[in-house]
Amino acid sequence: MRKLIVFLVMAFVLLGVTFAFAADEEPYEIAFIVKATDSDFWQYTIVGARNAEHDLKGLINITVYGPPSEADIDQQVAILENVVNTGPDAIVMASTSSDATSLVLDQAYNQGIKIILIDNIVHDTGYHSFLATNNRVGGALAADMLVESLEAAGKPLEGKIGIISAMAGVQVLIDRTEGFIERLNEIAPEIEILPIRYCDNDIAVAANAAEDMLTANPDLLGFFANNNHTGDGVARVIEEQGLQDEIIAVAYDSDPQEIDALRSGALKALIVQDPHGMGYKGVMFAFMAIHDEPLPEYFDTGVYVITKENLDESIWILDPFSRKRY
Amino acid sequence: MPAGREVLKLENICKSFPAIKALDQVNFAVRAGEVMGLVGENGAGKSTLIKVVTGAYARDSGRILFEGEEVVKNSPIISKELGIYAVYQEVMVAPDLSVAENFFLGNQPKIGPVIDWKKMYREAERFLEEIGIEIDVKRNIRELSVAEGRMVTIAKSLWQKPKLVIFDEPTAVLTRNETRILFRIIRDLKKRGAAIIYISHNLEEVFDVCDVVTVLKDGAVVGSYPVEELETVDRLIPLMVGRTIEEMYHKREIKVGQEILRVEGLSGNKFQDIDICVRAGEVVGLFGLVGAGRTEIARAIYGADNFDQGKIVINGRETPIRRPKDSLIHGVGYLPEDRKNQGIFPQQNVEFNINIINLDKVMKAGIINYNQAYQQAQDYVDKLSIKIGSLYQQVSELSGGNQQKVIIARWLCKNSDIFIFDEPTTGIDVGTKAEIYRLFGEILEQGKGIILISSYLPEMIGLADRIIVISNGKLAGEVEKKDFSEEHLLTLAMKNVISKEKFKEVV
Amino acid sequence: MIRRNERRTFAERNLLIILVVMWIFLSIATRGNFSSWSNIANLLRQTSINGVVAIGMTLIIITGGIDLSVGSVVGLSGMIYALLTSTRGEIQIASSLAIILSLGAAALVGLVSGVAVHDGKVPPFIATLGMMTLIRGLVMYISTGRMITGLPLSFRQLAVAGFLGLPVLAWIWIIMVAFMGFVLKYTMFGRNLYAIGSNKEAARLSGINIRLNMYGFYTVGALFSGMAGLMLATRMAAGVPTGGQGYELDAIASVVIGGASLSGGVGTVFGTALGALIIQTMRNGGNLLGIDPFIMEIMIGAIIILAVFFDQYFKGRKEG
Repeated sequence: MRKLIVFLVMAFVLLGVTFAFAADEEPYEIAFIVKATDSDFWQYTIVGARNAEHDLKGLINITVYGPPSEADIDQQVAILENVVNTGPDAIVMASTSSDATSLVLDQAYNQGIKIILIDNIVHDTGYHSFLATNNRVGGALAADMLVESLEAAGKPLEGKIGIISAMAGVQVLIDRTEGFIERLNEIAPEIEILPIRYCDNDIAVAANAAEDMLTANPDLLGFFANNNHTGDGVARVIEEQGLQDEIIAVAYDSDPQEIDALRSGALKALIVQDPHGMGYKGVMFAFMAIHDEPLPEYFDTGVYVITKENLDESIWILDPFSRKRY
Repeated sequence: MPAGREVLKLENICKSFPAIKALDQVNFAVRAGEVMGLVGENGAGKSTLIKVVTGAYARDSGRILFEGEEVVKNSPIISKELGIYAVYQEVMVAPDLSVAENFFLGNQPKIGPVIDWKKMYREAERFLEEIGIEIDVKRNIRELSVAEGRMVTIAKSLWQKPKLVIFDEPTAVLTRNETRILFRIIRDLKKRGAAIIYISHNLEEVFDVCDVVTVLKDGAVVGSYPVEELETVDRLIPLMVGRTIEEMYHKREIKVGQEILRVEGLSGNKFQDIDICVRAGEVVGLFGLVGAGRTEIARAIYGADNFDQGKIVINGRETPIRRPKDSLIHGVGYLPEDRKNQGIFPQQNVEFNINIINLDKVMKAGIINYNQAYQQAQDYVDKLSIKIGSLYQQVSELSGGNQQKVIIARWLCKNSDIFIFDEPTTGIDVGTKAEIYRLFGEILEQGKGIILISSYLPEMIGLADRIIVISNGKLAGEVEKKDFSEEHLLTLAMKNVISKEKFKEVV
Repeated sequence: MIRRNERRTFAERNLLIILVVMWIFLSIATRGNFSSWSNIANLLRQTSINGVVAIGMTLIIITGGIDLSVGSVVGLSGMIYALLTSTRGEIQIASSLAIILSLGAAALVGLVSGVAVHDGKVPPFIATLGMMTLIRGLVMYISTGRMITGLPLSFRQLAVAGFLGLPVLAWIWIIMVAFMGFVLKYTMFGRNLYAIGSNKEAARLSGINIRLNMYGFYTVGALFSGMAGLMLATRMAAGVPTGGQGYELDAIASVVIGGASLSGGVGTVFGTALGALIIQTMRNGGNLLGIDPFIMEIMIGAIIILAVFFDQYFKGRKEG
């Protein structure tokens, strides 16, 4: 028994030394932390990050981390803590919470690790640059598209609109919703906005909520779904009940099912970000930060409106997998 | 030894449980520096008496005087504060704390708010050394052997400087050497002026260590006798059992038929080389002290536990019995001693509990016919006159006696050839007892056989046709009906328990 | 004479009343929206997935155990089906075969839990907690964390399809409730379940094969989760890696509201079905009335505690 332990200790020491020597020749370590590994959106940012790694040909090494689901805020904090312990040169982080990660991030920043935030701002921490979609602008754009689609369908701007939110307490979603409400009140003051329903980012629960809102409100004009899973749920109900012509729905983000819905008319417009760009530029910014290049404090990665009409020419943004270079 | 003042005096203590008078006008006194032996059959009321003294049970009437003052309100906490310390059969210390912590429990030495571990260990160590026990005081009780745990419990009795110590079967799990230490501790306690009550089945032991013996029988004191007056153990036994067999057990004459069960050379975990033969229409008693291995033998025959060697012959054919299912098929039924944990399905209703092994009779194509199922259950409820509200009543709501009847109904319905009854009347009132005895007659008349395990000798003698006595896991003898006597049976049962050398060494 | 004034459990007797009261209240409060046929159909369909998971959970809870892995098994079977049939994937096998394989995988998970619990003596809470994480990881791994779409049209249409005015998903649930209700009451499988759940040692002494039965309970329990996984996949028209996450909680709540005891031996499929309906009625009604979703959660939590409290209270009164 004792012999075995001694052997194991020796083996690990040797292994460690090997790695330590190898590390001398290693490229810059950049940790890329996403909000969740279960979502296409974050997979797209990873494609962007990997493309950047590919383009920088051996100068950097990307390691991707992320909890299974966006609901796992605490897990993400734990991941971040572990990453900081490994001492990478830079961290590109999409933090689910704007506050939970700030202590650890600030500590990393003070250790000299370059911090690039993407998608969601984190309060009370130093960072080198923040790249994001302006979600308020995106929400406003969704309101514009909703009103435009209502008009195109020849519907009066009176009645009710339902909002289905993936989750309570997530800043990005709050921004989208507030941007939407603000603009809708401005351009269509006669439209009543129903209380927001939350669905734990569960498609089936989103569908249940949409179904119930339809039942309760015969004068419902449409929906705003503030991410892809809520969009999927809403689209599913519209398809099931054949309401493509009656109910105008606009959703945020994209996934294959939302695109199908766009084609079938269940969703009228998608407000999409540029996840590939976010990942790609995030990594590039990190590389620049390592070399102490000046960076903008905030960089808007932009939002795009996808409709049935421009769908085909927008594939580059909708399916970044087609742009994989590695 | 000159007797000191009376530490504990009981006056006319009575305690009843539903349908049972457990203690009837009990009077006795224990003096400082005196060891009083408390003896009696199983169920004579010894445990109840101890629980009344320690306050675990409230007495119905009578007075407890402790050091001359009446204890009006009693509870385990109050009795502890008075200085009464009881050492039960089980290990009564906190299993996850160290030996030293158990000694100091509640008043650990402290430096400011912090426990002074060093001092605690040092003092505990010195104490154990003094009384000659070698146990690492830093170890948790859980890590100790059962005997070591018991020694710690016993040592704690000395540690707490009590005025009255009660030992309930203290030597059951002790080795010879540990018994010697125990006796030294008892003498130590005596010297310090503590009063001691010593309960044991081992009468030789009682003779050795006690000054006075009080005999308890059916909840009443037969008498207290100085050991010198009694002279020998043999004089004590008649005092413990001397009672005629009651009318309760009148039995019809049944013709004994062919052999239906034969057990040959059965050996297992707690028993060796057991032979039993049961013929149709006969009750074979399996008698022994608690822990002699009776239940283990019964469980092995039924297939509830494995056995190492031996064979079981049912109706003339050697039958492999490996699990309960086997004996069910071959017509052996077992009514366990621990009704609550092994017999009933407490949350289920009466029908469920009766039919659990009898569904095959009311099933068709794998589906239960509830009309038949309830009819079948009702038939046996009527036959055994089980008192229930309805067949839908949860069995846990029934009295102990009716629960037992439900289990008997289960096996009557199964129509087994051999019934093994393990303590069928514990916790059951007299009326129901009589009914259960009557059922024995019915079972026998149908040409079936019964193996009866009972610690209650009058019951055993009244019901059995033959009694096989087990002592310490081995056959101690087979007694025919004409030779039945409580003295004879008890003497046989103790055959392998008492080793006189043990006590000679100790002295 | 047989006295057959069958005593229903508190749960079965009173949940029905509670449910009817809730329904009447909601019908009035929503000016008939709630009691519209289409909403009743919606309600039943919305209940169906949790309802089916909860049937399996009922079995496990009657054994005195608990199954935390049901949500992950829901995700697993849906994902396996999606991967095997997606027109956008590499493999495409017949839908029926894919269903069998998905259910088979679910059953296998249950069998492993059963072995861990019975032979490994791992407490059910721990065994299934482990399985929950393990299986979720497996789902993430085989799907590379991505949603799998492109399921066969016939399968997707199941979610929308109706039969005799009710959604097919609701029918699946109703039929399963009736079927398992029958099995638990009228077969040896059910009898053994209650026997083992209320007193394992007495069951063993009654000749019941504990091992085989425990395997059976866990396997059948997981099979229901697998079935629910397929139902969720048709509802979402996709295999979603996080599908079924957290479903164990609603299932446990349904079973407990339905009158089962976590110490085993007590519980019925019918009671569980009522429990599931009560939870979903609250969600559905809350959506219809536009009640603050956070207040809804508070109310559902309170209902769970109250249901058990009243159960205990009436039991106590009966005995006292």
